[in-house]
Amino acid sequence: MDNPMVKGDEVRHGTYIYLDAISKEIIDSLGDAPLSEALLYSLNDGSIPFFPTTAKQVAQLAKAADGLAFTVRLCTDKKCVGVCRFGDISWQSRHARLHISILEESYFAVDILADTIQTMLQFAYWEANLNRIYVYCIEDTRLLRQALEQVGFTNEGRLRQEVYRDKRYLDKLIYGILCREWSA
Amino acid sequence: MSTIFQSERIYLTPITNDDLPQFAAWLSDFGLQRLVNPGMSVPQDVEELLNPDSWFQSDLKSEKCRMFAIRTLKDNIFIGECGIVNLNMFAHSAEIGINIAHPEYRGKGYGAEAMVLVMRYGFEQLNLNRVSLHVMSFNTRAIRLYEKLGFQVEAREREMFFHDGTYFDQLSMGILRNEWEVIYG
Repeated sequence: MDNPMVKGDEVRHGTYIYLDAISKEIIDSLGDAPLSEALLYSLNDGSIPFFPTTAKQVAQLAKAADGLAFTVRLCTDKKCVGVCRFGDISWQSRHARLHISILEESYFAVDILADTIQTMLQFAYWEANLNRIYVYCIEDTRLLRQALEQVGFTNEGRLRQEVYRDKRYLDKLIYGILCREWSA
Repeated sequence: MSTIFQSERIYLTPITNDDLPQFAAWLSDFGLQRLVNPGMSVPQDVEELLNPDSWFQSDLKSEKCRMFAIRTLKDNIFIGECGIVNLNMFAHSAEIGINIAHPEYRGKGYGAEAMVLVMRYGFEQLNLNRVSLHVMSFNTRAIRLYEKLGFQVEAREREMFFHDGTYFDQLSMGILRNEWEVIYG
C-alpha cells in the first residue's frame, strides 16, 4: 500500500479502499462517458428518475449534497472507483443514511462494496459518533444487499411498490445497523 | 358543493394566515409534537412561520406537499392539520400525515375521517398507486387506527429517533391502490 497511515488515520482505511476528499482534481479525472445501465441501476434507489449520468456528475452531486461525502480510492494505486456519503444526518437522533456509488464496473463487486460499507461504518461510529446507519435499496440490487448482509446489516422491512422502473413497480428495502451491533 | 374535501363532520381547507397563531401554539406543544413530529421539537412563533425561508412556507410552495387545515362542518373550528408530503409523481407514491391537535376533538373519530379524505384525494385525484406514513412505535393508538383504515406495517426502523433520553423505533406503514379499492371502492 503506497498510502501509509498515520496514527488516527485507520478510521478511513479499509482492506482494499480508503476514503478521501472529493477534490476538484479527482472530479476532473473521472470520465465523461455515460455510466453503464448496471451501474446506474445500482446508484439509484428510485427516489429520482433514472437518467443517463456520468461518473463526474455523480461525484459533483455527492460533493454538493448536504452531509458528509467521500471518494472511494483503492489502497494499491489510489485510483478513485466510487463516491459515498452520509445524508439525512440527524445529530440529535444520531442517525444517517448511507449512499454508495461505485463508478467503475470492474470494481462493482461484493468485496469492494462490503469494504466500502465497513469503512463508512468505521467513520460513522468511531469519528462521527453516530448510533444508527441505514440504507434504502431496490429489491433487485443483489450485490448491494449481499454486501450489506455480509457487513451485518439487518433487513428492517420492505416498502411495497415504492419504486417504478422498467414498466413495473418494485419494492424498496430498508437495511439498518446500530453501533452496538457493529461493535460486537 | 364538492365533497372531495368534505366528510360527515369535517372539511379540508388551506391553512390561512389567520390559522397561524393556533398552528404555532400546537407546534410549540411538546406533548403533542412527541406524537407527530419524529425530529427535534422547537417552539415556533407566527413570525417564524411567515418567514419566506421557513420550512412551513417551503412546504406550502413545494410541489411535493399538499397541506390542509381540518375544520368542523358544524361550527368551522380549526381542529388540526393533515396533508400529503414527499409526493413522487413518477412512482405514483406519497406519504400522508395527520394531526388532530385540538384536545377536545381527539379520540372521537375525527382523525379517521380526515385520513380517509386525504387517502381518497391521493388515490382518486392524484392517481397514486401507494400511500404510506411513518409513526413512532409507542403511538399504539395511531397504529391501531392506521391498521383499521387498511395500512400494513412494512418496516420497523430501529432506534430511529431520540426523545426524552430514549431511542424509539419508527414504523413505516403503507396501503396500495388495489387494497384501497377493495376496502373503499
